[in-house]
Amino acid sequence: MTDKAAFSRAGEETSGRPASEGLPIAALSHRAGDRSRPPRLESLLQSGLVQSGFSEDRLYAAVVQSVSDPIVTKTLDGRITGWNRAAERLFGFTAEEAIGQSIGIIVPVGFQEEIDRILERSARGESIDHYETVRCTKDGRLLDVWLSISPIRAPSGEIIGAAKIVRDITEQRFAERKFQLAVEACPSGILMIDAAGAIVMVNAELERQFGYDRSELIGSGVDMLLPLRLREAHARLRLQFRDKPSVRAMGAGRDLFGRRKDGSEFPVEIGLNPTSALNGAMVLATVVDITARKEAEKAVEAQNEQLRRSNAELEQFAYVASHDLQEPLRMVASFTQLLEDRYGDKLDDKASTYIGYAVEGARRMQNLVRDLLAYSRVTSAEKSLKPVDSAAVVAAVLQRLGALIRENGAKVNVHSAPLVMSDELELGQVFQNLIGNAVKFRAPDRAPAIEISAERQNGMWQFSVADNGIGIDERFSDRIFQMFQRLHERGKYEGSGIGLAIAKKIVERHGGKIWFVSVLGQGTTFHFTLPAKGQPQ
Amino acid sequence: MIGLPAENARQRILLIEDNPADADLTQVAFETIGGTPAEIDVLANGEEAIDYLSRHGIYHNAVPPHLVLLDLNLPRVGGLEVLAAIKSLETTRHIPVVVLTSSESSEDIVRSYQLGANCYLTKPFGLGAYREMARRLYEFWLELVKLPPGGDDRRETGPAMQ
Repeated sequence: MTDKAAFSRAGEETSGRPASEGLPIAALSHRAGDRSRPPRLESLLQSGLVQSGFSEDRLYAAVVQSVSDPIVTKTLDGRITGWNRAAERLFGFTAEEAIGQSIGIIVPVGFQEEIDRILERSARGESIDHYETVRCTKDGRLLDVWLSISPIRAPSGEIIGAAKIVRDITEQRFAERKFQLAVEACPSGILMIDAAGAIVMVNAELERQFGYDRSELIGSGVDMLLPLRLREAHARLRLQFRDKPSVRAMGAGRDLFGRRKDGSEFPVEIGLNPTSALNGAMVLATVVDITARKEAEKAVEAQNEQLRRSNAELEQFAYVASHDLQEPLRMVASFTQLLEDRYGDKLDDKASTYIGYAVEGARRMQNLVRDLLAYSRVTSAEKSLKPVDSAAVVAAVLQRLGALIRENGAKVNVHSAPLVMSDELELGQVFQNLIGNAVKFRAPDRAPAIEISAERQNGMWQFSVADNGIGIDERFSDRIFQMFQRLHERGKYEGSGIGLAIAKKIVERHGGKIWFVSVLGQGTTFHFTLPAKGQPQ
Repeated sequence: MIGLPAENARQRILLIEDNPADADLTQVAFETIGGTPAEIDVLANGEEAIDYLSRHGIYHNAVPPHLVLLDLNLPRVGGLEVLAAIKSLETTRHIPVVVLTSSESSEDIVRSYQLGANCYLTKPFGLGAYREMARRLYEFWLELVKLPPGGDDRRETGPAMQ
């Protein structure tokens, strides 16, 4: 095919004007400035370009061929008479294949009637601008297109055909659909406002959130979505944002509220994204309804508050109860003893035994009360954690337990004891309870040997206190850390059974864990973790 | 009693204690100490104790004690207030005050020493421990340490003491 061939047939009879005469370069170049619209055919016609196009004019043909939009001409009965290179590229038919064929070759099924209507309008001399429809390629692919169609007149004025310029907007439409889908499917409300604060776009979620139809929103001021009391301030803030836009969350540190169509309010979180458009700055805002989150937060806060209160009450109760319980016990013990002391010669042996039981009972109860008090004190005072030299703490504990250790011939080896974030007294209590237990629950046939070590595990130190004692049945691994739980009958081993409960409470208050591994008859190793120095809790 | 207390002069202790059982127990504990038993006066509330020590009202003839044993948990005027009163009065400031209480609260301990308590003891558990405490208190405060002359003695030598 040749360029001239394609565009010389329809206007055979006419002789074109000389090429030098006012070629409408401007008419064609206008498309460079506005990609979104095909050049108006009208202007081509007015310029005389089309008339001259039906001439032999080479320049004209060159222009038509070089236009990047497809240009197709056809007779009034729909036979293709012109087919430029852009048309070849878009539709896949060469000019030779297309010319002489029905325009129907590029019209998909279901759109044939449309052709008749267009041709009828062209026959009446009407121009059609920006007609959006669908066409198809040689291989059957559908295209979104914009058509601009103008009648073609013979020099006599008679309409002999139609010329159409095709703009392929398939990509543009696809991009729009993607955008549309993304916006509409977004679980957050989305709105865009212009520099004047008018709403230019909303999505379905925003309609749902505020109870407005988008037709009520578009074009209205964004203030309609705000509680009345905030509107004035908002207008000011909006201007500030316009002057100094940034991507950010709106109202940092403030609670934001939206106002529904019915006047009710709901808490929102708003993200602001400034964008610049041709006609001034726009802001894209995302709106999340945080009613559910706020309610959940409130519920958790209320629950925490209740827990805090009941914890505090419990500690206060334990403290007061333990304190006040000690007094009468002291009386019972002292005066039963005084009874024996003063009137011992008037009592028989049984009476002395009974007095012994009473005194012992009171003493045991006093120990329990004392331990309960110690337990309640672990959290009743808010102590801050400081770097503590665990080696010094262990040394102090060993000194305190000196008598017990000597009596049992125990050997204690301290392998490593690092700096940990702790409360010195409490850490001492943990070691005292663990080392004390290790000695107390010794195997009868061998001297206690206790190994104390520590190893670093991420941000924590893991301490181990290992003994060669009687061991603990691991079935009791949970019970052993509970208050007043003892695994042995009274008399065999002394103690109220609170030492490990206190140790556990202290370790957990430090953000650590405590557990043990044991082999019955061979020994037990207690492990606990504490935050290393320099580690935030 | 004129001049320095005689070798066998009875030492006077003022016990400020509202619990009669505890008062009894303390008296019993001090009774059984060898040598001359101390004379123990017991007052059951803080108001009276302050009147007594400042020789106020019905106590204008009261003889100042050599040692005060003070419980903290008292009706009406609490033990710490009594302590503060004793240590703020010119005429009583010199009398050693031993706080003897069941409270182990560190707040009470710190406060007591801040107010000028001479020592702080928690009531021991059991008769034996109570007696032991009494014996050591007696030996230390009434035998070992040198105290300013108490009560009548003080009046005699008053100016010299200033």
